[in-house]
Amino acid sequence: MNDKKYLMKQIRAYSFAVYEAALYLDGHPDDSRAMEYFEKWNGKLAEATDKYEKRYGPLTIYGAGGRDWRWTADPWPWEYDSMS
Amino acid sequence: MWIYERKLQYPVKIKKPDPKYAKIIISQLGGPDGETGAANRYLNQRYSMPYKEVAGILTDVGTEELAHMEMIGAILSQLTRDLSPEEIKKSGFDAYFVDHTAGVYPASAAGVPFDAKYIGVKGDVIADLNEDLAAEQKARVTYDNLLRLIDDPDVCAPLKFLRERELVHYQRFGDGLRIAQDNMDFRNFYGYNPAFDRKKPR
Repeated sequence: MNDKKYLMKQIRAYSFAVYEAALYLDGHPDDSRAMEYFEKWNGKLAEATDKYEKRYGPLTIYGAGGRDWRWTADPWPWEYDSMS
Repeated sequence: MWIYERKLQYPVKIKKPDPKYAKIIISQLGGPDGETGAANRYLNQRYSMPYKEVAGILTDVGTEELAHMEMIGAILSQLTRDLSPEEIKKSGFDAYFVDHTAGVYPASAAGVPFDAKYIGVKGDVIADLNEDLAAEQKARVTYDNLLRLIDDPDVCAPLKFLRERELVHYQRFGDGLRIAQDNMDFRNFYGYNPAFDRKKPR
């Protein structure tokens, strides 16, 4: 697995954990263990996202811009040729 | 507002196109218990939900449903890529093809276009949350049925992921119903509708 694919796999796993914890925290806002879990994976997600965007291009519109417009340069995630 | 994240929630990479499968999976986009209905149901119910935790669950589950619409769209478009007229005829995809070519149009497996009649927004806390609980189970059954009919592991993997999300969302709406009932008159949940009868709950 190349670096780009590996980073995307990490991002997907971390953001899954974060979103899962968020849905739970909506209904259990005082659960400190769930909050710790959220914080842990959200930190890792931020790191991996930063790394990915610096190397391979934006994941959201807020990471686009710079010298070239890279937002539309890669295949879209739903395409067979995207690395998704 | 929403912003787009340039990734699928779970990867979709289908090596072998097969329009037969697209013909039935399309129901999870535009059918009675599909993801388009789910997103619209929860995101529209939010406005009359007086409990902020539960409005949060509706917002965040509804947002995830948008990502599920995208996954189903990805599955459908990959299953129908590079088809020859012979394959289209042989697979029975011709009835869809004549109207939509290989575009992704929200309809049921029987060809009925998506209809807002599939969703309920009653503006009543108990009625809406029970609708949501039932909707998650109905979507789970639809995924079960698809998994009974499909044997390509590339197609089954994302469908299994989506099936599991229905179970988790069911749990989360259960949390929502508990919170709502904790906030309502425990002697009679059905005596009033806090979405309408009281200006400011709590």
